Amino acid sequence: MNDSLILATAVRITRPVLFLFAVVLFLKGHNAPGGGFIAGLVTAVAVLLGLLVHGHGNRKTGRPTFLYVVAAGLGLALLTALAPTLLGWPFFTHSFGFIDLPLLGSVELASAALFDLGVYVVVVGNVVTVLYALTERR
Amino acid sequence: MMNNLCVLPVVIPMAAGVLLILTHARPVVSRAIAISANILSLGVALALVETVRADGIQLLAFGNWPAPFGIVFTVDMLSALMVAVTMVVSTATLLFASVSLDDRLEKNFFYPLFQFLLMGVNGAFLTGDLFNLFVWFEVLLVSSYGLMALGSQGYQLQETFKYLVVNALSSALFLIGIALVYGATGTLNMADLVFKFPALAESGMAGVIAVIFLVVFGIKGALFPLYVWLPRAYYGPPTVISGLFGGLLTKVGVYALFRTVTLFFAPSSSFVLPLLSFVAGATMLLGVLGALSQWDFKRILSYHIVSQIGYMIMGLAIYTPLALAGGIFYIIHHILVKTSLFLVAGAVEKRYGTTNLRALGGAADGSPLLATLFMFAGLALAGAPPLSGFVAKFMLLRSGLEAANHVIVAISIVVSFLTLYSMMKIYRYAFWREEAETAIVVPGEPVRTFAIASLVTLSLVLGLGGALLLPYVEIAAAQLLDPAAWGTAVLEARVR
Amino acid sequence: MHFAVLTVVAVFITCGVYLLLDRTLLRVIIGLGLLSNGVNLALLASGGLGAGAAPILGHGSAAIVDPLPQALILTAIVIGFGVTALMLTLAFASYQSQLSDDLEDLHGRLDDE
Repeated sequence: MNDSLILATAVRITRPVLFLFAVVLFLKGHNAPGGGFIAGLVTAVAVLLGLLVHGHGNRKTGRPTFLYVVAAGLGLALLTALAPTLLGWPFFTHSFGFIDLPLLGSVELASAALFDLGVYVVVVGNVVTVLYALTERR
Repeated sequence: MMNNLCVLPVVIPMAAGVLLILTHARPVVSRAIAISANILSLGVALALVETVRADGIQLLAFGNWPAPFGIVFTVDMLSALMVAVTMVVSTATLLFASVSLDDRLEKNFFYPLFQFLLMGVNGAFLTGDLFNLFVWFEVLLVSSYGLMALGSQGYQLQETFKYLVVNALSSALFLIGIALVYGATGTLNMADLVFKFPALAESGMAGVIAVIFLVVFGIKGALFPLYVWLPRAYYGPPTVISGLFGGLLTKVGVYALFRTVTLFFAPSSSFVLPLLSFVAGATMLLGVLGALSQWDFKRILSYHIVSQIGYMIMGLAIYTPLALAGGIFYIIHHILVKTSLFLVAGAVEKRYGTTNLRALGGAADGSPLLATLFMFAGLALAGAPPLSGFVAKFMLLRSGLEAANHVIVAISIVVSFLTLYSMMKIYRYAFWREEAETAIVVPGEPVRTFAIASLVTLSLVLGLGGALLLPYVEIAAAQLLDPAAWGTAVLEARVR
Repeated sequence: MHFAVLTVVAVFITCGVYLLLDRTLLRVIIGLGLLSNGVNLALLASGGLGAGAAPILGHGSAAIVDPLPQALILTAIVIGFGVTALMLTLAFASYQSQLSDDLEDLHGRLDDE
């Protein structure tokens, strides 16, 4: 890749913002626009920017590693969906509750968020795998 | 009846697929995981068949959202039987693949793709929601693209590309059909549609939607005149994978036709059944004529897939209880027999390094057992007694005569003889004559023969003991012909 | 409103089909992309179009549109994304192995009967 100082500097600043934005999108997702999928895409864009600036470097093993990430995400999503069946509820039934945390007050905890986390992980792993596969020189 | 059993045929392959990604670099572990997952799913599928026989239609509302609002899995006898036969042939194929595939291919995510393919196939059989059907189709298609390109030979890549474009086009049409259905009725739940779809008949919308879906499932199921993608595409991948595709993939399209035509299209549009009848005849005839012109083991078998699909559609087009039962029997018979024929081709290829009939010869000397198995499977495909093909064809012919549809009966008899001729041609050139000099002994032959033998034995059992399967098939046909009862059962099921 | 959206759908699908008929792999891929975008728009229109309304309840606005088509489109887009990525990889791989992205050149390299 060409070394571009402007791009490198811009990416150094925007990447943390993108990662934070992804977190915000993820947490917003339950009741408002956002969610694991779009947060995953934003994270993947941040990774892509890094790829644009630094190239592959010596990370030759990128592809399989990120496929393991995909597997982990799929597993998490599947387990979340399966959990209610152990209690006799139909597959995919979600549950939620509220707990009081110091500083934040009453916080809703939903099992759907775990599923969404799985989606997030799958999307990040998947998109990064695709990017690596399409940009590597064979 | 709400039952979490319904979703296990999807969950087990998915869980296995996830595990298999993690173990992809270790073929021995992968084989063990894949085969045990398959046997587990097979057990679940058989349990489902028995549950449906004993207690009627089984349901699962995902996330506890009741029928018209959430996605439901609806398992009637047809779904349960299809899942069961899927698991039978995929287990045999997996056994065959585990001793035949290159180490390199096995490590290149063969097992995860295989399991995700099964997940898609089973999901498509089980779902009761039109859009969900689209999603499962995509799951199985994406996995099949991966499997088809496995090995990345030049020929494979371009055929996969064409296969992909054809299927992407049909998926786009599928979505247009779904958009029309949703726009016109406001629902995509099949049970809900049973009652809302007939109202579209007056405006002519029902006919438009029917045509779009017939084209979509016609492409996926390789019907005349939309089968042209199939023979070349199925030639490319390793023979085990062709076998699985030949047995299973087109049958998902056929299943979708059985499901949608009986639920919506036949009751609301009068042109659907005569059209299907014509398509069935043309598919049979042109498929078998294509096969006659070929000189390659795999290509001949690929054209026969097309030809045989005509018989299944014939059962659907005649549309009597006996005809539908015959059609379903035919699907089950065909999945078993076609896969076993492809596996024989794979075993021959392993031994002689080619599937070109002109270069082959004398396989009967080298492996008499394989030749015997091929003979049985080939006779079953042509419909000779006492094999499963005979029972299926007998049911279809009888229902055709009862319905006084003489043209299609005549075509199906002619095509049967041409099929027999084509199987004799393979036997004559590949198994008789002097043994080709290229014969090499490759390890794993007993396992390969066992996998083929188990499928052929099942075909023999279904032929001699057709009465074993008949009650199940008749229940399936009766359920298909009574969409209102099916719809009511789904809509009125109570969630917990 | 419906007429305008459907015109856009028609344009997208026409352009998509035109590109699909080209022999260059890359144009075929772009054509399929256009086609699936057109179809997604059609799917959006199937739920009824409300000007200025969002598919979200309880955020101040009284007007809402049917959220189901949006969920369907999201699914279709995700699937389309995966398929496009796969097609690009395939086209890239076949370009590398055959040094051409023209279907006509690729055709019949392996002798068939």
